[in-house]
Amino acid sequence: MKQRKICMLGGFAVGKTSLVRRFVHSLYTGQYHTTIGVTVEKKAVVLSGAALTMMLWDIHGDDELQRIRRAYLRGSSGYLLVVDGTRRETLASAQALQTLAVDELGAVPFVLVLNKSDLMDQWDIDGDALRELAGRSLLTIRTSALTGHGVEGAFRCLAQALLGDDTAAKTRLSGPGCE
Amino acid sequence: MSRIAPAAALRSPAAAAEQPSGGAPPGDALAELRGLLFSDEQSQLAHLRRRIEEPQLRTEDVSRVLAQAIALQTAEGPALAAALTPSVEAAIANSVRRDPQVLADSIFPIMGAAIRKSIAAALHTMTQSLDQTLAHSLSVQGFKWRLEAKRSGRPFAEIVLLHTLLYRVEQVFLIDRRTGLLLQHAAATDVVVQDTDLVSGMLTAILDFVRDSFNSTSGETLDALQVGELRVWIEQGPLAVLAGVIRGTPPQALRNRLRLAIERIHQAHGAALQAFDGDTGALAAALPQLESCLEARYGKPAAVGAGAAPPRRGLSPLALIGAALALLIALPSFFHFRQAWRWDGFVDQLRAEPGIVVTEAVKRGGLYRVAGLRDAQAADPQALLLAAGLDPQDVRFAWEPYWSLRPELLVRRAAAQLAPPATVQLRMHGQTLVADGVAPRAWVQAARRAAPGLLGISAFDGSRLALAEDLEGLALRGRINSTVLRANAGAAQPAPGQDALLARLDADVRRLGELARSSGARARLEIVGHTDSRGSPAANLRLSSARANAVLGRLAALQITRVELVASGVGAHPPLQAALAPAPGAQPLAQTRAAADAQHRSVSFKAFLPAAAAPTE
Repeated sequence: MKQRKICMLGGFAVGKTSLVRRFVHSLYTGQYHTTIGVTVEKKAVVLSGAALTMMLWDIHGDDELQRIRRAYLRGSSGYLLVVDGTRRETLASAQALQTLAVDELGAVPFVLVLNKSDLMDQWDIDGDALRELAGRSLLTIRTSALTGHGVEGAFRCLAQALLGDDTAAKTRLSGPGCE
Repeated sequence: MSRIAPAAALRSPAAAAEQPSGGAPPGDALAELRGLLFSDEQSQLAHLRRRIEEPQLRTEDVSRVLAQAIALQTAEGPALAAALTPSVEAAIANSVRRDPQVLADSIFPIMGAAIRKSIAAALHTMTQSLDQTLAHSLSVQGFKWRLEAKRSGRPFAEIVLLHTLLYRVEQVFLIDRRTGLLLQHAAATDVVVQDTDLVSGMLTAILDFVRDSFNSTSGETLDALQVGELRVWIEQGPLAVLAGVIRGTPPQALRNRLRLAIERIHQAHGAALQAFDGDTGALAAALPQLESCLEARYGKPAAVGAGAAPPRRGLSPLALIGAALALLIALPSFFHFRQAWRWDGFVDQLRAEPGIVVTEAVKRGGLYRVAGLRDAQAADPQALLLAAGLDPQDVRFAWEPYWSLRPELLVRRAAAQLAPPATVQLRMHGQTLVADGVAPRAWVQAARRAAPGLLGISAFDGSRLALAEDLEGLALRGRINSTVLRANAGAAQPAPGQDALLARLDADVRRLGELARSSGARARLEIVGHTDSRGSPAANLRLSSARANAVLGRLAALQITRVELVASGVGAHPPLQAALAPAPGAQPLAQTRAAADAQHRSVSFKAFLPAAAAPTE
């Protein structure tokens, strides 16, 4: 069984935990978040006959200090970089976190997740910063943890890349919702 | 060049003959030259080629060095063993297929020992846990735990083990230090295992958190967590982390064991750890190392923290329970056996008792029942029952009356009928009732009449009996004969002051008359008067007669029948010496004549009572 560590990165209240819950369907305890700033979840996926267990490190975001424990990033094979589409400031957090991730992990694949797509009428992000970030990502995808839209795709895209078939992932998942 | 000459000299004569003829091709010359130059090497080469090309020779060569080669390779590492394993396994399988007996014979000597060891270990474990469970079954603590078991729905034995656990390594995690991914996991049996991948991840997160938060330097990190009864001991290697989940209080030695395990894992699987890419199967070979850490120690809770406290010696709970059980079994048995023993003794006594015939003695529904025949004169069974220590409430008697002809019963029945005086002993001689002792004539006569009419008695033998009347007459005569009445000098009448003596004499003579009458005879009382030696014999004779007659007259006045009174005077003849013998405490015989005279002035008596006629007559 192949396993991979994957981090959920993103600013405060961007919906990382909701995305993980939506994907994993597991019960959620906020206890770890408040104590050590991370919750580990697990999801096994099967892609093109290959199985992968994703160990999802849901790392507590902190906008004010922009500080997360770098140690939690260590050993990650990839990450989901989550931005709250309705809050511009979360894009800045994402940029900072992405820099941190590169510093810690090198150029590992990541998926840029624009969450809260159910609130498109309040959409607040656009421009060069987003495009620049999206350019570095494996995939940019709009999701809604509320409706479930795009969630499965975001994780599976990353999983596919980790199994060494990122082109297929890109091909399959590009489409509506992808930038 | 110096070697050419000898080589040329060795040429064959044919070759030498060809040489002068010339015309030979240059190749031949070259070959010849080669032959001249390298003939030795060529022959060696040919030899070597033969050895390489001929399998037989090659095999021989290899066989010569095979043993050393194997030894050398084995010393260098496990590669040869690994390479040979499939062949050896195949060889063993082949051998078993061909003839299992060969292998069976080979391993037979070690099989017994191995099986014994295995069984002993299993028994030891079982005894230990049984002993422990029993020990805690009977204590207050045990009852609490029993309640806990009821509450939690877990088996009691499990609760006991949990509470008496010194420590147990329940799970061991081998975690990739970099990614926090689980490499291997081992768990003790019966341990509820959560999602090990998640535990591994969170544990890594916690380690990271601690390392980050406390800015620990020089690789220091969290090495233990404690949650209630559970603690997690963590040993970190450069590539992997070993985490043992332990219930209870482990000794420091366990820490060393974990450290040793992680070191060995790095040693043996360093390459696999280095190359770990998320494929957990790569570390499967490390599992035995993890399993070796799964150990448990049980003991009394009090011993926790005391380190390797020696086990308390004394009676084991098993022994105590055994003793209690034995007592529980033995106590009723003791009472039962004592009762049975008493009962048997009682029944034996009843059977031996004359006049009792036991026809049935059984225990039925907790009650004893005795049935049989009993003579009315036989011993009382109730009294025997009490004497045997049995409760009369427990025994029911059913007696049929009968007459026993045993001598004891015949005698008892005769005694009941004849009511002999206490001075009579009865016994049976054949069918004759024999009486011994002293009995009044009247009883003897009555018994003689009644006895032959009794069951089992045909005759009565009273010949050994002394008649009570004869004995009394004898005594009476003795007393009368020893009576001496005094008289004053010259006086015929008894001297005054002898009233008591006279009264006794009266009564004795009267009784003499009665005895004479009862035996149908006549008694005779001779009354003899005496005087002192003073005076003339004739006067003395008269005076003595007068004295005798005075007493006779007095006795005759009593009108006693059947006693013939005879009076006579003997003068100065003294009375019988016996009659003169002093009464106890009286003055010694008078030494003076005056005193002797005073004694001689007297009346003495001699009573006669013919022996009673034999009762049989």
